[in-house]
Amino acid sequence: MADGTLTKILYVEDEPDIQEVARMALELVGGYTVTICSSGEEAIAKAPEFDPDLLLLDVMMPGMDGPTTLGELRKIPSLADKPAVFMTAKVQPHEVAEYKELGAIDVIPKPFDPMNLSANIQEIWSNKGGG
Amino acid sequence: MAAEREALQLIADEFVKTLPGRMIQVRDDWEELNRIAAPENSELPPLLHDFYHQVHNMTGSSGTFGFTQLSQIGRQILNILEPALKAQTPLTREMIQTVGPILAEMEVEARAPVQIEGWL
Repeated sequence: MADGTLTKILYVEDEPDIQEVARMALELVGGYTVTICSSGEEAIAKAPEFDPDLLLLDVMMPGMDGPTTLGELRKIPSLADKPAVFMTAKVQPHEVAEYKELGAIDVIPKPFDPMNLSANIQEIWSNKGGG
Repeated sequence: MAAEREALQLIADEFVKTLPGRMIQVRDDWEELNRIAAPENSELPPLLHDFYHQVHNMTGSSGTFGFTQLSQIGRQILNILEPALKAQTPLTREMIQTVGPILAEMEVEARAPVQIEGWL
């Protein structure tokens, strides 16, 4: 992320169908390098070595949910300041505000449009001043 | 982008093939929840979490794949169950009686889900 370009995305999502669609959307359509984790625990294990530019997290997951996962990832020094985006169907203004209070720079509504997901993420990245 | 669209549609088609099996599991879990959600049972059944996540995943995936009606039916079930999950309170008879017909509707829709025109 030294040059401010978004290249590597760590995506945490438990649902295999959504994983597959998102991988295609982010890698083939967006050209990003993506590591997908099926749980918060897996993300915590893989994130330090992958060293993502952006954390993309599903909110509702069995076990460790997205907000809890983000909290744990924030405890890893190299990830403490990485921009994070939540993906959720719950996008009422007060809900979005809550996610931002937890440290997300934005929220992507579910269901997402696979063909526009990468553009959406790039826009969020650009608006935060990173690209 | 035609190749990407085609590949995404293939994933959607595969998803549809999984629906019958998923609905059987959801129905089985719901029947079990019905059985154990007696008025004297004052605790939230752990199985409700599994049931909720199964419906949640089907709701999310179907919405992403353009099966809007199926997704909206699933969302209705989630909205009914969420208060019990949040408050960790038992399922009420009213909740069970409300979810039952909606689940039946979801089963019907899942047999031949309609994908919205213009998906992708």
